[in-house]
Amino acid sequence: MSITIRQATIADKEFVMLAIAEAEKSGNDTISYCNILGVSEQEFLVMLSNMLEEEIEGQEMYIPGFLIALVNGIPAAASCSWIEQSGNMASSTLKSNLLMYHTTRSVLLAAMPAIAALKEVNIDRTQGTLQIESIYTSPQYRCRGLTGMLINEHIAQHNTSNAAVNKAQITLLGCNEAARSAYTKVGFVQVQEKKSDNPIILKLLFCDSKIMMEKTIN
Amino acid sequence: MDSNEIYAHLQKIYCTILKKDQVTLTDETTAADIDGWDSLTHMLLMDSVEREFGIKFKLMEIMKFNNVGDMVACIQKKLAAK
Repeated sequence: MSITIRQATIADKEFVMLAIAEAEKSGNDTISYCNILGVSEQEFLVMLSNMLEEEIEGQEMYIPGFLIALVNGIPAAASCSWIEQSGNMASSTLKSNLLMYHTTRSVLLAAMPAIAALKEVNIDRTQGTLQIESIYTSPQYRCRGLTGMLINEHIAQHNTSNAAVNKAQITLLGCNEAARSAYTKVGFVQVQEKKSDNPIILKLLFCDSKIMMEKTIN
Repeated sequence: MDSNEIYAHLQKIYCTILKKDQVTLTDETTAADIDGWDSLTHMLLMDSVEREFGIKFKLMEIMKFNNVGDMVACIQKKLAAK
Protein backbone atom coordinates (compact mmCIF):
# COMPACT_ATOMS: atom_id res chain seq x y z
CA MET A 1 0.00 0.00 0.00
CA SER A 2 1.49 3.33 -1.08
CA ILE A 3 0.49 6.38 0.99
CA THR A 4 1.35 9.91 -0.05
CA ILE A 5 0.25 13.24 1.38
CA ARG A 6 0.00 16.42 -0.67
CA GLN A 7 -1.65 19.83 -0.56
CA ALA A 8 -5.14 19.97 -2.05
CA THR A 9 -5.76 21.79 -5.31
CA ILE A 10 -8.94 22.90 -7.04
CA ALA A 11 -8.99 19.45 -8.69
CA ASP A 12 -9.69 18.00 -5.21
CA LYS A 13 -12.74 20.19 -4.67
CA GLU A 14 -15.24 17.31 -4.61
CA PHE A 15 -13.20 15.33 -2.10
CA VAL A 16 -12.70 18.45 0.06
CA MET A 17 -16.46 19.06 -0.02
CA LEU A 18 -17.03 15.45 1.00
CA ALA A 19 -14.52 15.86 3.85
CA ILE A 20 -16.17 19.03 5.16
CA ALA A 21 -19.68 17.57 4.89
CA GLU A 22 -18.80 14.25 6.52
CA ALA A 23 -16.72 15.89 9.24
CA GLU A 24 -19.69 18.14 9.99
CA LYS A 25 -21.94 15.09 10.24
CA SER A 26 -19.57 13.77 12.88
CA GLY A 27 -20.88 10.23 12.52
CA ASN A 28 -24.55 11.25 12.20
CA ASP A 29 -26.79 11.39 9.12
CA THR A 30 -27.17 15.14 8.88
CA ILE A 31 -24.67 17.92 8.23
CA SER A 32 -24.95 20.21 11.25
CA TYR A 33 -25.05 23.29 8.97
CA CYS A 34 -28.26 21.90 7.42
CA ASN A 35 -29.91 21.67 10.84
CA ILE A 36 -28.71 25.12 11.82
CA LEU A 37 -29.60 26.90 8.57
CA GLY A 38 -32.70 24.86 7.81
CA VAL A 39 -31.46 23.94 4.33
CA SER A 40 -31.24 20.60 2.52
CA GLU A 41 -27.92 18.80 2.06
CA GLN A 42 -28.07 19.64 -1.65
CA GLU A 43 -28.61 23.33 -0.91
CA PHE A 44 -25.76 23.33 1.58
CA LEU A 45 -23.39 21.66 -0.89
CA VAL A 46 -24.12 24.39 -3.46
CA MET A 47 -23.38 27.02 -0.78
CA LEU A 48 -20.22 25.18 0.23
CA SER A 49 -19.02 24.98 -3.36
CA ASN A 50 -19.54 28.73 -3.77
CA MET A 51 -17.82 29.50 -0.45
CA LEU A 52 -14.79 27.41 -1.46
CA GLU A 53 -14.57 29.38 -4.71
CA GLU A 54 -14.01 32.57 -2.69
CA GLU A 55 -10.58 31.30 -1.52
CA ILE A 56 -10.68 32.92 1.91
CA GLU A 57 -7.71 31.83 4.02
CA GLY A 58 -7.79 31.43 7.78
CA GLN A 59 -10.81 29.13 8.13
CA GLU A 60 -11.73 25.62 7.02
CA MET A 61 -13.58 26.42 3.80
CA TYR A 62 -10.35 26.99 1.88
CA ILE A 63 -9.11 24.29 -0.48
CA PRO A 64 -5.33 25.02 -0.32
CA GLY A 65 -5.57 24.71 3.48
CA PHE A 66 -6.32 21.00 3.04
CA LEU A 67 -3.90 18.11 2.90
CA ILE A 68 -5.02 15.00 1.04
CA ALA A 69 -3.79 11.51 1.90
CA LEU A 70 -3.72 9.28 -1.16
CA VAL A 71 -3.67 5.50 -0.95
CA ASN A 72 -2.28 4.02 -4.15
CA GLY A 73 -2.97 7.37 -5.79
CA ILE A 74 -6.63 7.55 -4.68
CA PRO A 75 -7.83 10.28 -2.27
CA ALA A 76 -8.54 8.49 0.99
CA ALA A 77 -8.44 11.11 3.74
CA ALA A 78 -8.30 14.88 4.15
CA SER A 79 -8.04 17.56 6.77
CA CYS A 80 -7.33 21.27 6.83
CA SER A 81 -5.38 23.64 9.03
CA TRP A 82 -4.77 27.32 9.50
CA ILE A 83 -3.25 29.71 12.00
CA GLU A 84 -6.07 31.24 14.02
CA GLN A 85 -6.54 34.96 13.45
CA SER A 86 -3.22 35.50 11.71
CA GLY A 87 -5.04 38.30 9.89
CA ASN A 88 -7.58 40.81 11.12
CA MET A 89 -10.46 38.43 11.83
CA ALA A 90 -11.14 35.27 13.80
CA SER A 91 -11.99 32.21 11.71
CA SER A 92 -15.56 32.29 13.05
CA THR A 93 -16.03 35.84 11.73
CA LEU A 94 -14.54 34.93 8.35
CA LYS A 95 -17.04 32.07 8.14
CA SER A 96 -19.88 34.37 9.19
CA ASN A 97 -18.98 36.71 6.35
CA LEU A 98 -18.93 33.80 3.91
CA LEU A 99 -22.29 32.52 5.13
CA MET A 100 -23.80 36.01 4.87
CA TYR A 101 -22.81 36.21 1.23
CA HIS A 102 -23.84 32.73 0.24
CA THR A 103 -27.23 32.41 1.82
CA THR A 104 -30.31 34.57 1.84
CA ARG A 105 -31.19 37.11 4.51
CA SER A 106 -34.36 35.19 5.37
CA VAL A 107 -32.42 31.94 5.89
CA LEU A 108 -29.90 33.72 8.09
CA LEU A 109 -32.49 35.48 10.20
CA ALA A 110 -34.43 32.25 10.64
CA ALA A 111 -31.21 30.55 11.74
CA MET A 112 -30.32 33.16 14.36
CA PRO A 113 -32.02 31.40 17.34
CA ALA A 114 -30.16 28.18 16.49
CA ILE A 115 -26.85 30.01 16.04
CA ALA A 116 -27.41 31.88 19.32
CA ALA A 117 -28.11 28.59 21.13
CA LEU A 118 -24.88 27.10 19.78
CA LYS A 119 -22.92 29.80 21.57
CA GLU A 120 -23.61 27.82 24.75
CA VAL A 121 -21.19 25.11 23.59
CA ASN A 122 -18.92 27.23 21.43
CA ILE A 123 -15.24 27.15 22.42
CA ASP A 124 -13.16 30.10 21.23
CA ARG A 125 -10.05 29.14 19.31
CA THR A 126 -6.85 30.70 20.60
CA GLN A 127 -5.26 33.39 18.43
CA GLY A 128 -1.93 32.31 16.96
CA THR A 129 -2.51 28.56 17.35
CA LEU A 130 -2.56 25.95 14.61
CA GLN A 131 -6.15 24.84 14.06
CA ILE A 132 -6.82 21.43 12.54
CA GLU A 133 -10.36 20.85 11.23
CA SER A 134 -12.57 18.84 8.87
CA ILE A 135 -10.68 15.61 9.47
CA TYR A 136 -12.19 12.85 7.35
CA THR A 137 -11.20 9.38 6.17
CA SER A 138 -13.22 7.40 3.60
CA PRO A 139 -14.78 4.36 5.31
CA GLN A 140 -12.75 1.81 3.31
CA TYR A 141 -9.46 3.40 4.42
CA ARG A 142 -10.14 3.70 8.15
CA CYS A 143 -7.98 2.08 10.85
CA ARG A 144 -4.80 2.60 8.79
CA GLY A 145 -3.47 5.60 10.71
CA LEU A 146 -4.24 8.14 7.98
CA THR A 147 -5.74 10.64 10.44
CA GLY A 148 -2.57 10.63 12.51
CA MET A 149 -0.39 10.98 9.41
CA LEU A 150 -2.38 13.98 8.20
CA ILE A 151 -2.31 15.69 11.61
CA ASN A 152 1.42 15.11 11.97
CA GLU A 153 2.01 16.49 8.47
CA HIS A 154 0.00 19.64 9.22
CA ILE A 155 2.09 20.15 12.36
CA ALA A 156 5.38 19.41 10.56
CA GLN A 157 4.60 21.89 7.79
CA HIS A 158 3.71 24.64 10.26
CA ASN A 159 6.74 23.87 12.42
CA THR A 160 8.90 24.48 9.38
CA SER A 161 7.14 27.61 8.22
CA ASN A 162 6.17 29.31 11.48
CA ALA A 163 8.26 28.78 14.60
CA ALA A 164 6.12 31.23 16.57
CA VAL A 165 3.19 28.81 16.61
CA ASN A 166 3.53 26.54 19.61
CA LYS A 167 0.14 24.91 20.03
CA ALA A 168 -2.20 22.92 17.83
CA GLN A 169 -5.90 22.73 18.67
CA ILE A 170 -8.76 20.54 17.49
CA THR A 171 -12.38 21.24 18.35
CA LEU A 172 -14.87 18.38 18.19
CA LEU A 173 -18.17 17.14 19.54
CA GLY A 174 -17.86 15.65 23.01
CA CYS A 175 -19.74 12.52 21.89
CA ASN A 176 -17.29 11.70 19.11
CA GLU A 177 -15.33 9.04 20.98
CA ALA A 178 -13.67 7.61 17.86
CA ALA A 179 -12.22 11.01 16.93
CA ARG A 180 -11.18 11.77 20.51
CA SER A 181 -9.34 8.44 20.65
CA ALA A 182 -7.59 9.06 17.31
CA TYR A 183 -6.40 12.51 18.38
CA THR A 184 -5.25 11.22 21.77
CA LYS A 185 -3.05 8.69 19.93
CA VAL A 186 -1.17 11.53 18.23
CA GLY A 187 -0.59 13.42 21.47
CA PHE A 188 -3.62 15.69 21.88
CA VAL A 189 -5.16 16.14 25.31
CA GLN A 190 -8.54 17.58 26.22
CA VAL A 191 -8.17 21.08 27.64
CA GLN A 192 -11.75 22.35 27.64
CA GLU A 193 -15.34 21.14 27.48
CA LYS A 194 -18.54 23.12 27.13
CA LYS A 195 -21.78 21.34 27.86
CA SER A 196 -25.38 22.49 27.65
CA ASP A 197 -28.70 21.04 28.75
CA ASN A 198 -30.49 23.16 26.14
CA PRO A 199 -32.57 20.67 24.06
CA ILE A 200 -31.98 22.79 20.94
CA ILE A 201 -28.27 21.92 21.09
CA LEU A 202 -29.01 18.20 21.15
CA LYS A 203 -31.41 18.60 18.23
CA LEU A 204 -28.85 20.53 16.17
CA LEU A 205 -25.69 18.62 16.97
CA PHE A 206 -26.97 15.25 18.28
CA CYS A 207 -24.62 15.90 21.17
CA ASP A 208 -24.73 18.16 24.23
CA SER A 209 -21.09 19.24 24.36
CA LYS A 210 -18.05 20.39 22.47
CA ILE A 211 -14.48 19.79 23.53
CA MET A 212 -11.15 21.30 22.60
CA MET A 213 -8.03 19.15 22.44
CA GLU A 214 -4.57 20.62 22.35
CA LYS A 215 -1.00 19.57 21.64
CA THR A 216 2.21 21.50 22.23
CA ILE A 217 4.25 21.78 19.05
CA ASN A 218 7.61 23.39 18.27
CA MET B 1 -22.95 62.21 4.92
CA ASP B 2 -19.86 62.99 6.99
CA SER B 3 -18.13 60.52 9.26
CA ASN B 4 -19.69 61.98 12.42
CA GLU B 5 -23.16 61.33 11.06
CA ILE B 6 -22.16 57.82 10.01
CA TYR B 7 -20.81 57.16 13.51
CA ALA B 8 -24.08 58.40 15.04
CA HIS B 9 -26.01 55.86 12.93
CA LEU B 10 -23.52 53.11 13.77
CA GLN B 11 -23.73 53.80 17.54
CA LYS B 12 -27.50 53.38 17.32
CA ILE B 13 -27.20 50.11 15.34
CA TYR B 14 -24.56 48.67 17.66
CA CYS B 15 -26.58 49.56 20.77
CA THR B 16 -29.68 47.87 19.32
CA ILE B 17 -27.97 44.67 18.12
CA LEU B 18 -25.70 44.29 21.15
CA LYS B 19 -28.49 45.31 23.53
CA LYS B 20 -26.41 47.98 25.24
CA ASP B 21 -27.22 51.51 26.42
CA GLN B 22 -23.94 52.83 25.08
CA VAL B 23 -21.24 51.61 22.69
CA THR B 24 -18.11 53.65 22.01
CA LEU B 25 -16.92 53.37 18.44
CA THR B 26 -13.77 54.97 17.07
CA ASP B 27 -11.71 54.46 13.91
CA GLU B 28 -9.50 51.98 15.79
CA THR B 29 -12.29 49.90 17.37
CA THR B 30 -12.27 46.19 16.52
CA ALA B 31 -14.55 43.31 17.51
CA ALA B 32 -12.09 42.41 20.27
CA ASP B 33 -12.78 45.78 21.95
CA ILE B 34 -16.54 45.36 22.25
CA ASP B 35 -18.14 42.80 24.50
CA GLY B 36 -20.76 40.87 22.55
CA TRP B 37 -19.39 41.56 19.05
CA ASP B 38 -18.88 37.95 18.02
CA SER B 39 -19.38 35.96 14.83
CA LEU B 40 -23.16 35.84 15.38
CA THR B 41 -23.74 39.51 16.16
CA HIS B 42 -21.24 40.37 13.39
CA MET B 43 -23.70 39.02 10.80
CA LEU B 44 -26.56 41.01 12.34
CA LEU B 45 -24.43 44.16 12.57
CA MET B 46 -23.30 44.02 8.94
CA ASP B 47 -26.84 43.29 7.78
CA SER B 48 -28.21 46.23 9.80
CA VAL B 49 -25.47 48.59 8.58
CA GLU B 50 -26.24 47.71 4.96
CA ARG B 51 -29.95 48.26 5.47
CA GLU B 52 -29.52 51.50 7.45
CA PHE B 53 -27.38 53.11 4.74
CA GLY B 54 -29.02 51.40 1.77
CA ILE B 55 -25.73 49.95 0.59
CA LYS B 56 -24.27 46.50 -0.04
CA PHE B 57 -20.72 45.59 0.93
CA LYS B 58 -18.77 43.29 -1.37
CA LEU B 59 -17.43 40.17 0.34
CA MET B 60 -13.82 41.22 -0.21
CA GLU B 61 -14.53 44.68 1.20
CA ILE B 62 -15.95 43.26 4.42
CA MET B 63 -13.10 40.75 4.69
CA LYS B 64 -10.59 43.61 4.60
CA PHE B 65 -12.13 45.66 7.42
CA ASN B 66 -9.38 45.90 10.04
CA ASN B 67 -11.44 48.16 12.27
CA VAL B 68 -14.54 50.35 12.40
CA GLY B 69 -12.64 53.14 10.64
CA ASP B 70 -12.25 50.93 7.55
CA MET B 71 -15.98 50.24 7.57
CA VAL B 72 -16.84 53.95 7.93
CA ALA B 73 -14.53 54.80 5.01
CA CYS B 74 -16.22 52.13 2.89
CA ILE B 75 -19.70 53.41 3.83
CA GLN B 76 -18.67 56.96 2.91
CA LYS B 77 -17.32 55.81 -0.44
CA LYS B 78 -20.49 53.90 -1.25
CA LEU B 79 -22.77 56.77 -0.21
CA ALA B 80 -20.76 59.20 -2.32
CA ALA B 81 -21.12 56.92 -5.33
CA LYS B 82 -24.92 56.78 -5.03
